[in-house]
Amino acid sequence: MDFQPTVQQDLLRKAVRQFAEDEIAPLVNEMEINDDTPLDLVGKMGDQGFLGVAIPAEYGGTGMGHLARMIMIEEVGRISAGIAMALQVMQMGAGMVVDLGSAAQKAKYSPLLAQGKILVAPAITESSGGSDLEGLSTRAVDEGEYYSLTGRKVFITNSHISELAVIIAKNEGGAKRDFSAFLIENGTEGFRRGRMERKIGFHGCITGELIMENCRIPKENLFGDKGRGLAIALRGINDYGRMGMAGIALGLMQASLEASVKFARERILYGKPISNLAPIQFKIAEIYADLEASRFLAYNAAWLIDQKKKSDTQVSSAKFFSTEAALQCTRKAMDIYGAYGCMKDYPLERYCRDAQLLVPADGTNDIMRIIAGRNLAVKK
Amino acid sequence: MDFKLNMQQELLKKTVRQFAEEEIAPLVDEMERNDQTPPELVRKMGEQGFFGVTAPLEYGGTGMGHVDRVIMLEEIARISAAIAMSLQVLQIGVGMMMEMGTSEQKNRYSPALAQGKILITPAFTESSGGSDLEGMSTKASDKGEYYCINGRKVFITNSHIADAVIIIAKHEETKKFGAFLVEKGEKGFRPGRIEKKMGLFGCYNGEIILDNCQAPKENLFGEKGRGLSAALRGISNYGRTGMAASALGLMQASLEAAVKFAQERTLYGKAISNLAPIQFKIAEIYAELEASRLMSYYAAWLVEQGSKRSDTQTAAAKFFATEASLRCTRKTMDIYGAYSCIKDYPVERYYRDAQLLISADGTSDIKRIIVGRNLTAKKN
Repeated sequence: MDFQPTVQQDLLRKAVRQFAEDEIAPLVNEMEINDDTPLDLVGKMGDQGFLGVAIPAEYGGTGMGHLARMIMIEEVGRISAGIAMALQVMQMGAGMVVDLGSAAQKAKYSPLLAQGKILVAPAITESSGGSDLEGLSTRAVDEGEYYSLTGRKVFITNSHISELAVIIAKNEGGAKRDFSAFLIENGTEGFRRGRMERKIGFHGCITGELIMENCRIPKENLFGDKGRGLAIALRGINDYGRMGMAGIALGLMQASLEASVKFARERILYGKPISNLAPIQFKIAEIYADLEASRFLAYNAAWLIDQKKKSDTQVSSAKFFSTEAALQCTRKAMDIYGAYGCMKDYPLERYCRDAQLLVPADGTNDIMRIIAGRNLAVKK
Repeated sequence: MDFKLNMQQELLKKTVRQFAEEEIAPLVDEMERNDQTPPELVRKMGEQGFFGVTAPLEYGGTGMGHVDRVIMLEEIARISAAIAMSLQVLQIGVGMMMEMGTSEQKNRYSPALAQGKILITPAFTESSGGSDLEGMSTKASDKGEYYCINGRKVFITNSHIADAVIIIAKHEETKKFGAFLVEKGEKGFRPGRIEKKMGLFGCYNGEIILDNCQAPKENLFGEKGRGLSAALRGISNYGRTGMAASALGLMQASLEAAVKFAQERTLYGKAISNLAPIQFKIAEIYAELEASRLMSYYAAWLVEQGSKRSDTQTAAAKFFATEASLRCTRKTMDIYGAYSCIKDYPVERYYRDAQLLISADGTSDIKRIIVGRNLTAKKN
């Protein structure tokens, strides 16, 4: 066991922290008001290689791996959970193409993916199913020369700024679990963006619909092997999506801890800073412990992915544990701030609203507990 | 970062697990009835080098580190938290001697101390103070040839099996605290009442009474007037991580018991491991155990690095892991239903033992205050 981060990891954390403070922090107020993702910022993150952190060098990435990605998302999430969410899903899209795409697809889209010049939105969820993958109703019909897709994907992150989507659809006439994944380029006939959602938090991160109406997809855009759609979706969600949510949770907790410590030292009650009061010390101690516990769980899970070991129990556990902890910790930080906690001049209420979005995203925490519990308890 | 146990740690874990299953498990029922520490078992643990795990080779120890010690205690607590408690406190005695004893004292007690042939237990707490060290009222007065010590120490682990104790007492002349090594058989030294506890049966807890006890001058332990910091170091480096490790053992035992029962117990024609509420509990036990484990290993790793800044982390690991063990042992009881309350099953023992971890080596409340105070201190 060695808990020391590598020099590379330390450098990455420092560089991303500085980028987030210099480039993202000044945009947060604007994002809170207009709820748009600043494309200029996306360009800068692309230039910095943020999207390719877990992509091998041969495909234009930096190949630093999933633990490094976790550190990056944590640092971005410390300043803006909205941008961290947009980024982590961009990484997931790019990572899926590189990890699971055909040689031709990889050749066509990399290194643009790793540089953020093409954004990929994974699109799995529908109103009738998400974690229940078999409940998906988007259909793909094999028309000989092309596939025809019809369906409506909802709650798709980066829906309105992506150039590509990875769509999971049921093979018409196939067996119960016969799904395939398809790459759809923006501008394809029969493919369009639908409504944009208004959310409690994550302002600056676009969530919306992708609609396919007899959308014609060239045969070469089948993504991965035919019939492997569910496995592809699960792999992307496990390795990238759930880990990303844990990373954002860490960022929100770190921000809450720092804000709490600062406020507790400055705020005077009974003639002394409130940091002298046991109830304040209790909350700060609990935020710290929950953060450290979540951080180790998340790092350990990301490390397992890097080691190419089986990780779904650890990933699911890290996801539900850290995101539930983020809800509790952001709430405790608000409580320390008293009435200030509810004022928009302070970021605490934003942390709290953003934390709530971590709970359903990439599989609700109820589903996470069921996955971990089933893996641990049900005899194979 | 590398989350893998090294080969030595894997081997240690395996060896201690086997020892615990073969040598300790058969004694648990008897200990539950008579609440006595089996001397034969203490002797065997001594032969195995359990007491001297962190003591240097030159003093008869095995020269391993604090992470190794946590792994060892965890495996013992998985079978008996009482024996883990008894052992971990005796390891505090060995550790304090190695770190603070004069070379004369070390030579006098080596290698017998590390081999468990001499048992030294620390005795700090009094009815008027424990975590409030300043509230202690035991006094030592300098009589020229010896120190005369008067006072009453309470809640002393191993009080009735220890060959010597480390007493913290206030120098009457300077009003500063000193640490004194007092051997059993010294005039004016006697063990007092034995406490009856709700759990940790098989681990003695009782009084040490000093009634004009004459401690030879050479038994001053550590530097004069540095007794308080000696006590705090022993508690922080050994006591807190020891309690965290005991919590890990109880959680691991609870997880294994929960999974086993969930697979065997049938309701509605199927194993209850298929039911979501059972999966939820098992997932939560698992996540809390893994989080606690990584936090505890990290704190021990920091101690091992000789880091001066492990106080916050050992305190956080202690309250986090022990509070988690209370929740986890309770969840396992809930999975067992009525069986949980029956003495034929160990789960009610786990739960009772877990409660004793909360107050030992500084209550969870005190731990939160230490962490909160450290984090908000201006020097950070």
